[in-house]
Amino acid sequence: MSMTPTTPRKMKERCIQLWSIYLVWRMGMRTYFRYWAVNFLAPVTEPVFYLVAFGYGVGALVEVVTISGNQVSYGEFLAPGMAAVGVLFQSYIEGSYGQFHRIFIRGQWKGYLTTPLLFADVYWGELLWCATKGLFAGVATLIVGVCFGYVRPSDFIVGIPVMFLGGVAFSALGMSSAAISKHISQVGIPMHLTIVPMFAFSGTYFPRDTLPRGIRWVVDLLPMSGFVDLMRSRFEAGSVLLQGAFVLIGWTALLVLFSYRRLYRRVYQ
Amino acid sequence: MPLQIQLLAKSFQELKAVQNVSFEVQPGEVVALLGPNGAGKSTTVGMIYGFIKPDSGTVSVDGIDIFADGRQARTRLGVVTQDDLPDEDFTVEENLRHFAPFYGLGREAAESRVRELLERFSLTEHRKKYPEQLSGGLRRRLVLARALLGNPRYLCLDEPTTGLDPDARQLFWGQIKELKDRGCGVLLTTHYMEEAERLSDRVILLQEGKILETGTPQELIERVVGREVLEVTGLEAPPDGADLWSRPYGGGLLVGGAGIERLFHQLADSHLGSLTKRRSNLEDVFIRISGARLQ
Repeated sequence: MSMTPTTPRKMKERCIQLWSIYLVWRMGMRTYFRYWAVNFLAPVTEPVFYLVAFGYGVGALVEVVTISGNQVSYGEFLAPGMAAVGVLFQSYIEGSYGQFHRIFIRGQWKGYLTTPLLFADVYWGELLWCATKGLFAGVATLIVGVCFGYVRPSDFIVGIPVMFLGGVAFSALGMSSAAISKHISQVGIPMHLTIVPMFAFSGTYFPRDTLPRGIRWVVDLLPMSGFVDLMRSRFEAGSVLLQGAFVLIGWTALLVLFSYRRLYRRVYQ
Repeated sequence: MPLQIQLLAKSFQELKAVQNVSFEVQPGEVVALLGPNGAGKSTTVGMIYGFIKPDSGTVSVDGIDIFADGRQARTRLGVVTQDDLPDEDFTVEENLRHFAPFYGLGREAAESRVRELLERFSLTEHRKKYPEQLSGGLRRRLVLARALLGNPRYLCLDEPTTGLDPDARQLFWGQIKELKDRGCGVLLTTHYMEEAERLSDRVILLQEGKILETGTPQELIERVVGREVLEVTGLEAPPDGADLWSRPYGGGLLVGGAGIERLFHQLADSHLGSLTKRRSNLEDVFIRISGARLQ
Protein backbone atom coordinates (compact mmCIF):
# COMPACT_ATOMS: atom_id res chain seq x y z
CA MET A 1 0.00 0.00 0.00
CA SER A 2 2.86 2.34 0.72
CA MET A 3 4.30 1.70 -2.76
CA THR A 4 2.27 4.41 -4.48
CA PRO A 5 3.67 7.48 -2.65
CA THR A 6 7.18 6.01 -2.20
CA THR A 7 7.95 4.99 -5.76
CA PRO A 8 7.66 8.42 -7.44
CA ARG A 9 9.77 9.93 -4.65
CA LYS A 10 12.45 7.31 -5.10
CA MET A 11 12.30 7.80 -8.85
CA LYS A 12 12.77 11.53 -8.36
CA GLU A 13 15.72 10.93 -6.02
CA ARG A 14 17.27 8.56 -8.55
CA CYS A 15 16.86 11.17 -11.32
CA ILE A 16 18.44 13.85 -9.11
CA GLN A 17 21.31 11.47 -8.37
CA LEU A 18 21.91 10.71 -12.05
CA TRP A 19 21.82 14.43 -12.85
CA SER A 20 24.27 15.15 -10.01
CA ILE A 21 26.66 12.45 -11.29
CA TYR A 22 26.43 14.03 -14.72
CA LEU A 23 27.24 17.47 -13.26
CA VAL A 24 30.40 16.17 -11.58
CA TRP A 25 31.38 14.31 -14.77
CA ARG A 26 30.82 17.54 -16.72
CA MET A 27 33.23 19.42 -14.41
CA GLY A 28 35.92 16.92 -15.40
CA MET A 29 35.09 17.41 -19.08
CA ARG A 30 35.21 21.17 -18.70
CA THR A 31 38.64 21.04 -17.10
CA TYR A 32 39.84 18.63 -19.80
CA PHE A 33 38.69 20.85 -22.66
CA ARG A 34 40.14 23.94 -21.03
CA TYR A 35 43.58 22.40 -21.68
CA TRP A 36 42.49 20.41 -24.72
CA ALA A 37 45.66 20.94 -26.78
CA VAL A 38 47.82 19.40 -24.05
CA ASN A 39 45.29 16.73 -23.15
CA PHE A 40 44.85 15.53 -26.73
CA LEU A 41 48.55 15.46 -27.47
CA ALA A 42 49.52 12.21 -25.70
CA PRO A 43 46.49 10.08 -26.67
CA VAL A 44 46.83 11.02 -30.35
CA THR A 45 50.58 11.08 -30.84
CA GLU A 46 51.51 8.04 -28.72
CA PRO A 47 49.46 5.49 -30.67
CA VAL A 48 50.75 6.91 -33.95
CA PHE A 49 54.34 6.44 -32.79
CA TYR A 50 53.66 2.98 -31.34
CA LEU A 51 51.72 1.76 -34.35
CA VAL A 52 54.35 3.02 -36.74
CA ALA A 53 57.25 1.69 -34.67
CA PHE A 54 55.77 -1.70 -33.77
CA GLY A 55 53.74 -2.07 -36.96
CA TYR A 56 56.71 -1.58 -39.24
CA GLY A 57 59.37 -2.80 -36.83
CA VAL A 58 57.87 -5.97 -35.32
CA GLY A 59 55.44 -6.33 -38.23
CA ALA A 60 58.42 -6.87 -40.55
CA LEU A 61 59.53 -9.80 -38.38
CA VAL A 62 56.08 -11.25 -37.60
CA GLU A 63 53.80 -11.11 -40.57
CA VAL A 64 50.91 -13.11 -39.20
CA VAL A 65 49.57 -13.81 -35.72
CA THR A 66 47.14 -16.61 -34.95
CA ILE A 67 44.24 -15.77 -32.60
CA SER A 68 41.74 -18.52 -31.77
CA GLY A 69 42.65 -20.21 -35.06
CA ASN A 70 42.27 -16.99 -37.11
CA GLN A 71 45.32 -15.60 -38.88
CA VAL A 72 45.59 -11.81 -38.70
CA SER A 73 48.32 -9.35 -39.62
CA TYR A 74 50.49 -8.06 -36.78
CA GLY A 75 49.05 -4.56 -37.28
CA GLU A 76 45.49 -5.88 -36.87
CA PHE A 77 46.62 -7.76 -33.77
CA LEU A 78 48.44 -4.78 -32.34
CA ALA A 79 45.99 -1.93 -32.88
CA PRO A 80 43.19 -3.12 -30.48
CA GLY A 81 45.87 -3.91 -27.88
CA MET A 82 47.31 -0.41 -28.24
CA ALA A 83 43.84 1.07 -27.78
CA ALA A 84 43.50 -0.97 -24.59
CA VAL A 85 46.89 0.33 -23.39
CA GLY A 86 45.73 3.90 -24.04
CA VAL A 87 42.64 3.28 -21.91
CA LEU A 88 44.71 1.55 -19.21
CA PHE A 89 47.18 4.39 -18.74
CA GLN A 90 44.87 7.37 -19.19
CA SER A 91 42.18 6.00 -16.87
CA TYR A 92 44.64 4.82 -14.24
CA ILE A 93 46.65 8.05 -14.16
CA GLU A 94 43.53 10.22 -13.99
CA GLY A 95 42.08 7.95 -11.28
CA SER A 96 45.25 7.84 -9.21
CA TYR A 97 47.41 10.97 -9.55
CA GLY A 98 44.54 13.09 -10.85
CA GLN A 99 42.14 12.13 -8.08
CA PHE A 100 44.77 12.25 -5.33
CA HIS A 101 45.47 15.80 -6.41
CA ARG A 102 41.79 16.72 -6.59
CA ILE A 103 40.85 15.11 -3.28
CA PHE A 104 43.80 15.64 -0.99
CA ILE A 105 45.76 18.56 -2.42
CA ARG A 106 43.23 20.88 -4.05
CA GLY A 107 40.33 19.88 -1.83
CA GLN A 108 37.98 19.74 -4.81
CA TRP A 109 35.88 16.90 -3.41
CA LYS A 110 35.49 18.82 -0.17
CA GLY A 111 34.28 21.80 -2.18
CA TYR A 112 31.69 19.60 -3.89
CA LEU A 113 30.61 18.00 -0.63
CA THR A 114 29.80 21.36 0.94
CA THR A 115 27.07 21.69 -1.72
CA PRO A 116 23.96 19.48 -1.88
CA LEU A 117 26.00 16.81 -3.71
CA LEU A 118 26.44 13.47 -1.93
CA PHE A 119 29.57 11.33 -1.76
CA ALA A 120 28.09 8.81 -4.21
CA ASP A 121 27.42 11.58 -6.77
CA VAL A 122 30.99 12.81 -6.55
CA TYR A 123 32.53 9.32 -6.59
CA TRP A 124 30.56 8.12 -9.62
CA GLY A 125 30.92 11.42 -11.47
CA GLU A 126 34.70 11.37 -11.05
CA LEU A 127 35.00 7.64 -11.79
CA LEU A 128 33.01 7.96 -15.01
CA TRP A 129 35.00 11.03 -15.97
CA CYS A 130 38.30 9.10 -15.54
CA ALA A 131 36.83 6.28 -17.64
CA THR A 132 35.78 8.80 -20.29
CA LYS A 133 39.30 10.17 -20.44
CA GLY A 134 40.55 6.64 -21.02
CA LEU A 135 37.89 6.17 -23.69
CA PHE A 136 39.13 9.27 -25.53
CA ALA A 137 42.61 7.76 -25.68
CA GLY A 138 41.25 4.40 -26.87
CA VAL A 139 39.06 5.97 -29.55
CA ALA A 140 41.97 8.13 -30.75
CA THR A 141 44.09 4.99 -31.11
CA LEU A 142 41.38 3.15 -33.02
CA ILE A 143 40.99 6.12 -35.38
CA VAL A 144 44.71 6.01 -36.04
CA GLY A 145 44.32 2.22 -36.56
CA VAL A 146 41.59 2.87 -39.15
CA CYS A 147 43.96 5.23 -40.99
CA PHE A 148 46.59 2.49 -41.09
CA GLY A 149 44.01 -0.07 -42.24
CA TYR A 150 44.41 -2.16 -39.04
CA VAL A 151 40.96 -1.41 -37.65
CA ARG A 152 37.55 -1.52 -39.31
CA PRO A 153 35.02 1.24 -38.54
CA SER A 154 32.61 -1.50 -37.40
CA ASP A 155 35.10 -2.39 -34.62
CA PHE A 156 33.97 0.77 -32.81
CA ILE A 157 30.54 -0.77 -32.12
CA VAL A 158 31.98 -3.29 -29.69
CA GLY A 159 35.13 -1.30 -28.96
CA ILE A 160 33.49 1.76 -27.42
CA PRO A 161 31.44 0.00 -24.70
CA VAL A 162 34.31 -2.39 -23.98
CA MET A 163 36.79 0.49 -23.67
CA PHE A 164 34.41 2.34 -21.38
CA LEU A 165 34.11 -0.72 -19.15
CA GLY A 166 37.89 -1.12 -19.17
CA GLY A 167 38.15 2.58 -18.33
CA VAL A 168 35.88 2.10 -15.32
CA ALA A 169 37.99 -0.84 -14.11
CA PHE A 170 41.32 0.97 -14.39
CA SER A 171 39.92 4.25 -13.05
CA ALA A 172 38.70 2.32 -10.02
CA LEU A 173 42.16 0.75 -9.70
CA GLY A 174 43.66 4.25 -9.85
CA MET A 175 41.20 5.57 -7.28
CA SER A 176 42.04 2.62 -5.03
CA SER A 177 45.70 3.65 -5.28
CA ALA A 178 44.77 7.24 -4.41
CA ALA A 179 42.72 6.02 -1.46
CA ILE A 180 45.50 3.92 0.07
CA SER A 181 48.34 6.40 -0.57
CA LYS A 182 49.27 8.83 2.19
CA HIS A 183 51.44 10.95 -0.11
CA ILE A 184 51.29 11.58 -3.84
CA SER A 185 54.70 9.92 -4.31
CA GLN A 186 53.18 6.64 -3.04
CA VAL A 187 50.58 6.59 -5.80
CA GLY A 188 53.28 5.31 -8.18
CA ILE A 189 53.88 2.14 -6.11
CA PRO A 190 50.65 0.34 -7.09
CA MET A 191 51.25 1.51 -10.65
CA HIS A 192 54.59 -0.29 -10.86
CA LEU A 193 53.11 -3.38 -9.24
CA THR A 194 49.89 -3.62 -11.25
CA ILE A 195 49.79 -1.47 -14.37
CA VAL A 196 53.26 -2.18 -15.73
CA PRO A 197 52.97 -6.02 -15.44
CA MET A 198 49.52 -5.90 -17.04
CA PHE A 199 50.87 -3.69 -19.82
CA ALA A 200 53.71 -6.15 -20.43
CA PHE A 201 52.04 -9.56 -20.04
CA SER A 202 48.37 -9.24 -20.97
CA GLY A 203 48.73 -10.02 -24.66
CA THR A 204 48.99 -6.47 -25.92
CA TYR A 205 52.08 -6.98 -28.06
CA PHE A 206 52.20 -10.76 -28.35
CA PRO A 207 49.69 -13.62 -27.97
CA ARG A 208 49.58 -14.97 -24.41
CA ASP A 209 49.82 -18.54 -25.80
CA THR A 210 53.58 -18.04 -25.92
CA LEU A 211 53.81 -17.68 -22.12
CA PRO A 212 54.66 -20.68 -19.90
CA ARG A 213 51.55 -22.48 -18.65
CA GLY A 214 51.80 -21.35 -14.99
CA ILE A 215 52.33 -17.70 -15.88
CA ARG A 216 49.63 -17.87 -18.53
CA TRP A 217 47.12 -19.14 -15.97
CA VAL A 218 47.77 -16.13 -13.69
CA VAL A 219 47.95 -13.61 -16.52
CA ASP A 220 44.60 -14.80 -17.94
CA LEU A 221 42.96 -13.70 -14.71
CA LEU A 222 44.22 -10.09 -14.96
CA PRO A 223 41.64 -7.48 -15.94
CA MET A 224 43.83 -6.24 -18.79
CA SER A 225 43.84 -9.74 -20.35
CA GLY A 226 40.05 -9.87 -20.39
CA PHE A 227 39.96 -6.35 -21.75
CA VAL A 228 42.44 -7.05 -24.57
CA ASP A 229 40.58 -10.23 -25.55
CA LEU A 230 37.29 -8.32 -25.76
CA MET A 231 38.98 -5.63 -27.85
CA ARG A 232 39.89 -8.37 -30.36
CA SER A 233 36.31 -9.67 -30.47
CA ARG A 234 36.42 -9.85 -34.30
CA PHE A 235 39.05 -12.58 -34.12
CA GLU A 236 38.63 -14.26 -30.73
CA ALA A 237 36.54 -17.39 -30.06
CA GLY A 238 33.29 -17.11 -28.11
CA SER A 239 34.68 -18.98 -25.09
CA VAL A 240 37.65 -16.58 -24.86
CA LEU A 241 35.32 -13.61 -25.05
CA LEU A 242 33.06 -15.06 -22.38
CA GLN A 243 36.02 -15.60 -20.08
CA GLY A 244 37.30 -12.08 -20.89
CA ALA A 245 33.93 -10.52 -20.07
CA PHE A 246 33.71 -12.49 -16.82
CA VAL A 247 37.23 -11.44 -15.75
CA LEU A 248 36.80 -7.78 -16.68
CA ILE A 249 33.34 -7.38 -15.15
CA GLY A 250 34.42 -9.22 -11.99
CA TRP A 251 37.49 -7.04 -11.51
CA THR A 252 35.49 -3.89 -12.25
CA ALA A 253 32.94 -4.74 -9.55
CA LEU A 254 35.66 -5.56 -7.01
CA LEU A 255 37.73 -2.47 -7.71
CA VAL A 256 34.72 -0.14 -7.67
CA LEU A 257 33.59 -1.56 -4.34
CA PHE A 258 37.07 -1.33 -2.83
CA SER A 259 37.82 2.21 -4.07
CA TYR A 260 34.37 3.49 -3.02
CA ARG A 261 34.74 2.17 0.51
CA ARG A 262 38.35 3.26 0.99
CA LEU A 263 37.76 6.73 -0.41
CA TYR A 264 34.66 7.15 1.72
CA ARG A 265 36.73 6.34 4.81
CA ARG A 266 39.52 8.71 3.76
CA VAL A 267 37.23 11.60 2.85
CA TYR A 268 34.96 11.33 5.89
CA GLN A 269 37.13 11.09 8.97
CA MET B 1 12.68 25.96 12.14
CA PRO B 2 16.20 26.56 13.46
CA LEU B 3 19.52 24.99 12.69
CA GLN B 4 19.53 22.56 15.57
CA ILE B 5 22.55 20.77 16.99
CA GLN B 6 21.87 18.16 19.66
CA LEU B 7 24.42 16.30 21.78
CA LEU B 8 27.11 16.13 19.12
CA ALA B 9 30.14 14.09 20.13
CA LYS B 10 33.26 13.08 18.25
CA SER B 11 36.50 11.42 19.30
CA PHE B 12 39.67 10.90 17.30
CA GLN B 13 41.27 7.86 18.96
CA GLU B 14 41.95 9.01 22.54
CA LEU B 15 41.14 12.66 21.88
CA LYS B 16 37.61 13.73 22.75
CA ALA B 17 37.34 16.53 20.19
CA VAL B 18 33.66 17.39 20.80
CA GLN B 19 31.68 16.34 23.86
CA ASN B 20 27.89 16.49 23.79
CA VAL B 21 27.57 19.93 22.26
CA SER B 22 24.02 21.28 21.80
CA PHE B 23 22.80 24.66 20.55
CA GLU B 24 20.53 26.31 18.00
CA VAL B 25 20.85 29.03 15.41
CA GLN B 26 17.68 30.94 14.54
CA PRO B 27 17.04 32.63 11.16
CA GLY B 28 18.50 36.16 11.23
CA GLU B 29 20.79 35.32 14.15
CA VAL B 30 24.60 35.30 14.16
CA VAL B 31 26.09 32.78 16.56
CA ALA B 32 29.85 32.62 17.14
CA LEU B 33 31.67 29.52 18.31
CA LEU B 34 34.63 31.06 20.10
CA GLY B 35 37.57 29.16 21.42
CA PRO B 36 41.32 28.67 21.11
CA ASN B 37 42.92 26.41 18.49
CA GLY B 38 42.00 22.80 19.21
CA ALA B 39 38.81 23.71 21.09
CA GLY B 40 36.69 21.63 18.69
CA LYS B 41 35.21 24.47 16.62
CA SER B 42 36.09 23.13 13.20
CA THR B 43 35.14 19.58 14.17
CA THR B 44 31.75 20.86 15.33
CA VAL B 45 31.20 22.77 12.09
CA GLY B 46 32.48 19.80 10.04
CA MET B 47 29.80 17.65 11.67
CA ILE B 48 27.16 20.32 11.08
CA TYR B 49 27.65 20.30 7.33
CA GLY B 50 28.05 16.55 7.25
CA PHE B 51 31.75 16.22 6.38
CA ILE B 52 32.71 14.65 9.69
CA LYS B 53 30.55 11.79 10.93
CA PRO B 54 29.77 12.24 14.62
CA ASP B 55 30.00 9.39 17.11
CA SER B 56 26.62 10.48 18.41
CA GLY B 57 24.18 13.37 18.21
CA THR B 58 22.05 14.95 15.50
CA VAL B 59 22.10 18.01 13.27
CA SER B 60 18.91 19.22 11.62
CA VAL B 61 18.46 22.08 9.19
CA ASP B 62 14.86 23.27 9.05
CA GLY B 63 13.91 19.93 10.59
CA ILE B 64 15.89 17.89 8.02
CA ASP B 65 18.54 15.55 9.43
CA ILE B 66 21.83 16.30 7.68
CA PHE B 67 23.05 12.71 7.97
CA ALA B 68 19.79 11.13 6.78
CA ASP B 69 19.09 13.55 3.93
CA GLY B 70 22.26 15.53 3.27
CA ARG B 71 21.15 16.65 -0.16
CA GLN B 72 17.98 18.36 1.08
CA ALA B 73 19.62 19.69 4.23
CA ARG B 74 22.51 21.30 2.35
CA THR B 75 20.17 23.07 -0.07
CA ARG B 76 19.25 25.10 3.02
CA LEU B 77 22.78 25.40 4.36
CA GLY B 78 25.66 27.34 2.81
CA VAL B 79 29.16 26.33 3.88
CA VAL B 80 32.48 28.14 3.80
CA THR B 81 35.30 25.94 5.04
CA GLN B 82 38.55 27.06 6.64
CA ASP B 83 40.68 26.30 3.58
CA ASP B 84 38.92 28.24 0.85
CA LEU B 85 38.36 26.04 -2.14
CA PRO B 86 37.61 27.87 -5.36
CA ASP B 87 38.30 25.76 -8.42
CA GLU B 88 41.64 27.02 -9.74
CA ASP B 89 40.89 25.89 -13.31
CA PHE B 90 37.98 28.28 -13.69
CA THR B 91 37.50 32.03 -13.56
CA VAL B 92 35.57 33.75 -10.80
CA GLU B 93 32.44 33.83 -12.93
CA GLU B 94 32.83 30.20 -14.03
CA ASN B 95 33.35 29.10 -10.43
CA LEU B 96 29.90 30.45 -9.66
CA ARG B 97 28.25 29.41 -12.91
CA HIS B 98 29.57 25.83 -12.80
CA PHE B 99 28.55 25.35 -9.16
CA ALA B 100 25.05 26.80 -9.59
CA PRO B 101 23.53 23.56 -10.99
CA PHE B 102 24.67 21.72 -7.84
CA TYR B 103 22.07 23.82 -6.02
CA GLY B 104 19.37 22.91 -8.52
CA LEU B 105 19.51 26.19 -10.44
CA GLY B 106 18.57 26.04 -14.11
CA ARG B 107 20.50 27.96 -16.74
CA GLU B 108 18.52 31.22 -16.57
CA ALA B 109 18.14 31.21 -12.79
CA ALA B 110 21.87 30.49 -12.50
CA GLU B 111 22.83 33.36 -14.80
CA SER B 112 20.77 35.89 -12.89
CA ARG B 113 21.94 34.55 -9.49
CA VAL B 114 25.59 34.68 -10.61
CA ARG B 115 25.19 38.28 -11.83
CA GLU B 116 23.52 39.25 -8.56
CA LEU B 117 26.24 37.67 -6.42
CA LEU B 118 29.08 39.12 -8.51
CA GLU B 119 27.57 42.53 -7.99
CA ARG B 120 26.74 42.09 -4.33
CA PHE B 121 30.27 40.96 -3.50
CA SER B 122 31.96 43.54 -5.78
CA LEU B 123 33.41 40.77 -7.91
CA THR B 124 32.05 41.94 -11.27
CA GLU B 125 35.29 43.61 -12.31
CA HIS B 126 37.24 40.47 -11.31
CA ARG B 127 34.89 38.00 -12.97
CA LYS B 128 37.34 37.00 -15.72
CA LYS B 129 40.23 36.44 -13.31
CA TYR B 130 41.39 33.05 -12.05
CA PRO B 131 41.39 32.47 -8.28
CA GLU B 132 45.21 32.50 -8.14
CA GLN B 133 45.09 36.09 -9.40
CA LEU B 134 42.90 37.20 -6.48
CA SER B 135 43.91 38.57 -3.09
CA GLY B 136 43.01 36.60 0.03
CA GLY B 137 40.02 38.85 0.69
CA LEU B 138 38.65 38.44 -2.83
CA ARG B 139 39.07 34.66 -2.70
CA ARG B 140 37.09 34.63 0.55
CA ARG B 141 34.39 36.73 -1.07
CA LEU B 142 34.25 34.33 -4.00
CA VAL B 143 33.87 31.32 -1.70
CA LEU B 144 31.22 33.13 0.31
CA ALA B 145 29.36 34.06 -2.88
CA ARG B 146 29.55 30.43 -4.01
CA ALA B 147 28.11 29.22 -0.71
CA LEU B 148 25.17 31.59 -1.23
CA LEU B 149 24.26 30.33 -4.72
CA GLY B 150 21.37 28.29 -3.36
CA ASN B 151 20.10 31.24 -1.28
CA PRO B 152 20.47 29.23 1.97
CA ARG B 153 18.56 29.89 5.17
CA TYR B 154 21.69 29.18 7.19
CA LEU B 155 25.36 29.74 6.66
CA CYS B 156 28.30 27.97 8.32
CA LEU B 157 31.57 29.89 8.26
CA ASP B 158 34.67 28.18 9.60
CA GLU B 159 37.26 30.81 10.63
CA PRO B 160 36.19 33.02 7.72
CA THR B 161 38.62 35.88 8.26
CA THR B 162 41.78 34.04 9.31
CA GLY B 163 44.69 35.43 7.31
CA LEU B 164 42.79 38.45 5.99
CA ASP B 165 44.11 41.98 6.37
CA PRO B 166 42.07 44.39 8.53
CA ASP B 167 40.35 46.08 5.56
CA ALA B 168 39.30 42.78 4.02
CA ARG B 169 38.10 41.62 7.42
CA GLN B 170 35.94 44.74 7.88
CA LEU B 171 34.44 44.24 4.44
CA PHE B 172 33.71 40.61 5.21
CA TRP B 173 32.02 41.58 8.47
CA GLY B 174 29.83 44.02 6.56
CA GLN B 175 28.71 41.21 4.28
CA ILE B 176 27.85 38.96 7.22
CA LYS B 177 25.76 41.73 8.76
CA GLU B 178 23.95 42.18 5.47
CA LEU B 179 23.17 38.46 5.36
CA LYS B 180 21.80 38.62 8.89
CA ASP B 181 19.61 41.55 7.90
CA ARG B 182 18.24 39.46 5.04
CA GLY B 183 17.17 36.82 7.56
CA CYS B 184 20.00 34.33 7.09
CA GLY B 185 21.09 32.49 10.24
CA VAL B 186 24.89 32.48 10.50
CA LEU B 187 27.11 30.18 12.52
CA LEU B 188 30.74 31.22 12.54
CA THR B 189 33.78 29.87 14.26
CA THR B 190 36.54 32.24 15.21
CA HIS B 191 39.36 32.76 17.61
CA TYR B 192 39.15 36.53 17.15
CA MET B 193 37.25 37.90 20.11
CA GLU B 194 36.68 41.21 18.32
CA GLU B 195 35.02 39.38 15.47
CA ALA B 196 32.74 37.47 17.82
CA GLU B 197 31.93 40.61 19.81
CA ARG B 198 31.15 42.78 16.80
CA LEU B 199 29.25 40.28 14.69
CA SER B 200 27.41 37.92 16.92
CA ASP B 201 24.09 38.03 18.71
CA ARG B 202 25.18 35.08 20.78
CA VAL B 203 28.54 33.62 21.68
CA ILE B 204 29.29 30.03 22.59
CA LEU B 205 32.59 29.62 24.39
CA LEU B 206 34.19 26.30 23.61
CA GLN B 207 37.19 24.61 25.18
CA GLU B 208 38.39 21.02 24.87
CA GLY B 209 35.23 20.16 22.99
CA LYS B 210 32.86 21.37 25.70
CA ILE B 211 30.64 24.42 25.92
CA LEU B 212 31.92 26.60 28.78
CA GLU B 213 29.40 29.43 28.61
CA THR B 214 26.84 30.87 26.25
CA GLY B 215 25.08 34.24 25.98
CA THR B 216 25.17 37.58 24.20
CA PRO B 217 28.65 39.13 24.21
CA GLN B 218 27.57 41.91 26.62
CA GLU B 219 25.70 39.55 28.88
CA LEU B 220 28.70 37.24 29.16
CA ILE B 221 31.08 40.11 29.86
CA GLU B 222 28.91 41.60 32.60
CA ARG B 223 28.00 38.27 34.15
CA VAL B 224 31.42 36.67 34.14
CA VAL B 225 34.00 39.46 34.47
CA GLY B 226 32.20 42.75 35.02
CA ARG B 227 32.57 45.91 32.93
CA GLU B 228 36.20 46.67 33.74
CA VAL B 229 39.35 44.74 34.58
CA LEU B 230 42.89 45.56 35.67
CA GLU B 231 46.07 44.39 33.97
CA VAL B 232 48.77 44.39 36.63
CA THR B 233 52.43 43.37 36.64
CA GLY B 234 54.58 43.02 39.75
CA LEU B 235 51.72 41.75 41.90
CA GLU B 236 51.70 38.13 43.04
CA ALA B 237 48.05 38.01 44.05
CA PRO B 238 45.28 40.49 44.81
CA PRO B 239 44.55 41.09 48.53
CA ASP B 240 42.41 38.41 50.20
CA GLY B 241 38.80 39.15 50.96
CA ALA B 242 38.67 42.17 48.66
CA ASP B 243 35.96 40.71 46.36
CA LEU B 244 38.47 40.20 43.56
CA TRP B 245 39.45 37.37 41.22
CA SER B 246 42.66 37.05 39.24
CA ARG B 247 44.17 34.97 36.45
CA PRO B 248 47.69 34.87 34.99
CA TYR B 249 47.85 37.22 32.00
CA GLY B 250 50.99 37.80 29.95
CA GLY B 251 53.75 38.49 32.46
CA GLY B 252 51.29 39.64 35.15
CA LEU B 253 47.75 39.27 36.33
CA LEU B 254 44.30 40.01 35.02
CA VAL B 255 42.22 41.18 37.98
CA GLY B 256 38.47 41.71 38.06
CA GLY B 257 35.54 41.82 40.47
CA ALA B 258 33.61 44.39 42.45
CA GLY B 259 36.70 45.56 44.35
CA ILE B 260 38.87 46.61 41.38
CA GLU B 261 38.14 50.34 41.79
CA ARG B 262 39.51 50.29 45.35
CA LEU B 263 42.52 48.15 44.32
CA PHE B 264 43.23 50.49 41.39
CA HIS B 265 43.41 53.51 43.71
CA GLN B 266 45.54 51.62 46.25
CA LEU B 267 48.03 50.54 43.59
CA ALA B 268 47.97 53.80 41.61
CA ASP B 269 49.89 55.63 44.35
CA SER B 270 52.46 53.07 45.43
CA HIS B 271 52.71 50.24 42.89
CA LEU B 272 56.05 49.86 41.06
CA GLY B 273 54.86 47.61 38.23
CA SER B 274 52.56 48.53 35.34
CA LEU B 275 48.88 49.06 35.97
CA THR B 276 46.11 49.44 33.38
CA LYS B 277 42.38 49.72 33.88
CA ARG B 278 40.34 48.95 30.79
CA ARG B 279 36.95 47.81 29.51
CA SER B 280 36.48 44.05 29.69
CA ASN B 281 36.08 41.96 26.60
CA LEU B 282 35.21 38.42 25.59
CA GLU B 283 38.77 37.25 25.91
CA ASP B 284 38.67 38.23 29.60
CA VAL B 285 35.55 36.09 29.93
CA PHE B 286 37.39 33.21 28.36
CA ILE B 287 40.45 33.72 30.54
CA ARG B 288 38.41 33.85 33.72
CA ILE B 289 36.51 30.67 32.86
CA SER B 290 39.27 28.60 31.36
CA GLY B 291 42.47 30.16 32.65
CA ALA B 292 43.75 30.20 29.03
CA ARG B 293 44.03 32.87 26.34
CA LEU B 294 42.19 32.65 23.05
CA GLN B 295 45.10 33.17 20.67
